[in-house]
Amino acid sequence: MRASSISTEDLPLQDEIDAVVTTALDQLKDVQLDALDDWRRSYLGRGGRLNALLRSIGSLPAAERPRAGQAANAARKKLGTALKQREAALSAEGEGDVEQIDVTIPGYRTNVGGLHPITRTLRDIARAFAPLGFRVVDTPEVEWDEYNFEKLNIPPDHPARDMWDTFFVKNEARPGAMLLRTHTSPAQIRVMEQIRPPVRVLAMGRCYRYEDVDATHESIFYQIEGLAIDSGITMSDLRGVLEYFARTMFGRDRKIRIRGSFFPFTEPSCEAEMSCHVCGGEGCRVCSGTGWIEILGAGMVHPDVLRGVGYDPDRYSGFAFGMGAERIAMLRYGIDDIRNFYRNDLRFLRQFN
Amino acid sequence: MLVPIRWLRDYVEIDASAQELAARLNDSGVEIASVSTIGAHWEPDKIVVGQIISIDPHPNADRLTLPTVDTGGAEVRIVTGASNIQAGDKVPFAMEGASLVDPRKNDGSLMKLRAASIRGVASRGMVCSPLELGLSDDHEGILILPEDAPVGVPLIDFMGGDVIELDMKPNRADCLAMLGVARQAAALYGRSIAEPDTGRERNDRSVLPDLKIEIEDPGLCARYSAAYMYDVAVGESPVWLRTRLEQAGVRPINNIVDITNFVMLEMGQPLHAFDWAKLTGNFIGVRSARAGETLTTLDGQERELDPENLLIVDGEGAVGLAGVLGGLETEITNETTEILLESANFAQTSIRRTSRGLGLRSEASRRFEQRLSPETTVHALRRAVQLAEEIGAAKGVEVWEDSYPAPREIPTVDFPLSEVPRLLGIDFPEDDVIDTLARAGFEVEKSGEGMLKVTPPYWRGDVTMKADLVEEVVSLIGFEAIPSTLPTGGVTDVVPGELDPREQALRDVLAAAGFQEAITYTITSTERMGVLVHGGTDDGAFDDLGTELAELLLSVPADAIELVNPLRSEQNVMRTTALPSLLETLSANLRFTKRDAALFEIGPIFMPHDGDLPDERRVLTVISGAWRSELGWDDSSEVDFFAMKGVAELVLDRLGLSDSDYKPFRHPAFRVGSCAVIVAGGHLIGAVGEVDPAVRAAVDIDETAWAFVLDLRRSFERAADVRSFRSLPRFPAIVQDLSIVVGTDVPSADIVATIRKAGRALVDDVRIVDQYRGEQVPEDKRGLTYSITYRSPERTLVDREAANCHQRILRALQARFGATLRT
Repeated sequence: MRASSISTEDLPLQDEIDAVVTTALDQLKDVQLDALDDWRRSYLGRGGRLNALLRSIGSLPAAERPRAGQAANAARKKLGTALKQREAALSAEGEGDVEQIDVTIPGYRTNVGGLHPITRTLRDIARAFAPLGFRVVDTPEVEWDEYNFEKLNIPPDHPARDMWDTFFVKNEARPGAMLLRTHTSPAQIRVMEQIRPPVRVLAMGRCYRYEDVDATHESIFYQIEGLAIDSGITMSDLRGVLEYFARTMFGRDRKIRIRGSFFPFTEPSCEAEMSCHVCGGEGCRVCSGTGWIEILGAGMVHPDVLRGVGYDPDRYSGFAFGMGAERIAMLRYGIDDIRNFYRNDLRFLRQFN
Repeated sequence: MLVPIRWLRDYVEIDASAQELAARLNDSGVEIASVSTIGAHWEPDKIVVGQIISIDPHPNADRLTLPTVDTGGAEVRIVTGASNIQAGDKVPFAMEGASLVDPRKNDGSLMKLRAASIRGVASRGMVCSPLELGLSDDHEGILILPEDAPVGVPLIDFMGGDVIELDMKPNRADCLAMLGVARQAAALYGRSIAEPDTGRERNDRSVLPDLKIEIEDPGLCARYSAAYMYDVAVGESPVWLRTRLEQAGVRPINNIVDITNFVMLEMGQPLHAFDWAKLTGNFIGVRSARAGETLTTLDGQERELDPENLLIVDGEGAVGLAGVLGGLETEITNETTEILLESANFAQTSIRRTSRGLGLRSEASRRFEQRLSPETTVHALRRAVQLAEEIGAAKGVEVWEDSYPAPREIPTVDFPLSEVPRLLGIDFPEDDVIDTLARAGFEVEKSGEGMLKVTPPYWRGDVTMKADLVEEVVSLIGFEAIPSTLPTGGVTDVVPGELDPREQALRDVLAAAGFQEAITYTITSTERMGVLVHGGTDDGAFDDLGTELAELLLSVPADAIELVNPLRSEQNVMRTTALPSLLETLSANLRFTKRDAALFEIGPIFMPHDGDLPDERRVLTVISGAWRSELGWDDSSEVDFFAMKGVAELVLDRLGLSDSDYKPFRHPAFRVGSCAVIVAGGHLIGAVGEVDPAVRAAVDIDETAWAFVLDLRRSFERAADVRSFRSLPRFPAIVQDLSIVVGTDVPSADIVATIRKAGRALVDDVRIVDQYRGEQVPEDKRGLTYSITYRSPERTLVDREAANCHQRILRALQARFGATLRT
């Protein structure tokens, strides 16, 4: 105990103090409520035994007095605490029969709100990519055809336009030129037009699809677009980044496989599949028995797109990828109907708090 | 496109199963939608081709008959209710134990066929309808097989098999043909291709009538080739041809049309057959339509044309919409004896515009929209004429005329092998690269150290540059060869347009305060937003502050961004205010939520901007129903102005805008007297208050509703992000309450300001504790109680100092507002 350790070597009063403390604590064990005050007086009172010892400090050599004083104070504090504890224990006992609270009744709940599952998903995705240096941007939802298509290597009347069902916006001065963006890819152009490599950005935001709503289709959706441009960026970097993402979001054991695909603004283009996070690749309902889940489209940014924003495609290369937030959220939370997201039914929204 | 494996095997030897081949094609970028089997449940020994030998009447039922079927070795008598069969017909015959689709269920589930006695006669099998075979939902009659169907052969061998469905991406026009898919498979498996047989040359020009072909603009039609067919006998195609077409999802029509469809499916080149006798002037022209010109197309519709449309014309006028649909008048009929067979290459854009403009999309137009090679036109004619002779449909001359004004050159690509590792991060050996490209039909030549000259085959117009070749190599070798690395290199500079992290901070504050985030549609209608200004916009509805607020985020302008092609009329403009969407959301939730119907959204509104992109203003909208829960199991309290204002203050505190001012205003969306605009640094940034009862009634909310709206850009511009530290108080405080009676027209904010001013440095804090209106004070007055904290930064105050200060404050309030001490 600290009180005795203060005075290890030949402090004259220490033994006496220790003896008083030992006796006092020993007695206290049996003291009842009505005798507590007597105990207090006899040890801690003005005429109590500790004070008696304190008074004799004056007879010690001046150099030893402070240490002796400290030791006596420590003893006083110790006894004081013991007294309070005994008092509390006795009074609790005195209350007689204890009433047992029904601990199975739920506690009072403060009403807390929460974030939309898409917001949560976007945040988690941004957080997954942040350590790799991706900065998060958003660009306009109402866009020019030029940014949504032409600068992405999709000229007017190109059959690739069929890949995007588009809402067009009335514009008297430039009929047909304004639309609701069908993907976040215009952000690639808007970012590259403003900064020079190295580029690492994540564009996130709402996109629109001219399509009737059913369990798997919505006319609005959130897309996450990644773009990394520098000299020396390769498709193996793309694969590594996607693997890092899949492991962060869906667990350490996730693997990525890629296969060929087509997007007008990437060459080579690919689709990435993730080993199923539900069955681990064995095959289950979520992955339709294949063990793999398609999560995104990607590719190396097309040389014409780079050239269009003034980047030399022989000097710079890079990758882009795009995925749907709803799909990621549906996979993570096991949501089976996309329409839930924008109905904003509190009974749905609160499930993710 | 449907690719029957059996058809594919005509061109390439593939041992792999359909599933395996499909996976391989899919990995290489030729996307597969599905793999299915025609007749997956047709056991070879249970369902065979049968022939009706005779049909006897049923002794006990008028509607039933008793056909006897030759099953190729046995004769079986059965009972049937089908009326479309006659003796001699070939039919699918199912024996006892066969699996058939159950016609009584609508889900395609199977049943086992059992022997049965029907009205006293035993039936030991069944003749099948297309539905029972799982071919279609047709259960009207028995499927009558072609006359030359071999009796006794398992039906699966006769007309079943695996079919791969391609989900074509617009880059690989070559794969809109069996031959193209076969070439891809051959390249993947290292096999050779057996080109379709075109037999001997058929170029006897002595039988040819005169023909002149004229192309007005080679930019719209690169090549127009024509074959001549004579001794035409229009009729039904042989079974093999019909089966081929059916398995590929194309309905057989007659032998001539079937041949054109077959060649299109095989080679990707659409063909069109004109009845030569009905063409005039020994002339075919390709030109743009003149304004006002009309054509009656094959479907019987008379169509008004415009110069966007490319036409095929004869000596008199339009006979076809080039690449889209032929004309009715020159259609092949049973009387046709001579044919002009067209095989042309039209410009993608022109075909696409015409087919979209007229709403006519055909297998032909779909292919012309892609980049087809002009090289194919003549190959396709050879094949068609050969087929016509083979099946006895006609004789022919392969190349009658061939107009190809500017032959297309195939560009050679200089391909440094270093491009492969530069883009992929993996280096393939030079020989592998050369070999892989060669397998896919590319001509490869070494042109220097690490340099290749590569010429793509004519059918691969999609390959024009280095990156295309890199893709070709990796898709054939396999993307799985690519390793996994993380990018190295520099850090990205600050990017314009980065998301403001304060939006996230506000979301967190509001969630903690009990509000649930919503994301609502940004596409709405003027009517739906119009609920906000229900009472019209007459003079009394708005005051100056209300007008300013409206312009900021609560207006319904006539020139809102409008969609050209809305999905429905109540979703046709981009919202200029977010409050109505949140009110709708609140209304929907109040149907089942009695309390804590409290929501918020952070998102854009779209303010029109003179034909330029709209100004996308980020706004916060917070909304609450009348009741919220309190601590306890079932306790609640009614939301009032101060409850909602408290939420606003919480948000503004987070932005360092705690000292914002609140002022009464008038806007029809808010209930007069129960709302305030929020002013920060002299600028209006938002508003808080009760939603006007008429507004909420318009969206079916029948309890009080509260709203807080905030313009985020303006708020962020004025926000103080970094707080300044204030030392913790070192001396104790003296707290005293001050209760006064004052006129109802004196704003509390003015009283607090006076308290602070009169108390000088000793007033550390002033808080409102209570507001009283009622019997104890006159009607035009109210009681206000403040708790004032007195403290000196330099020393411990003595009671007398605080009391003196308190008196000074009271005197100032008396002097300025006529306040009296409330006792």
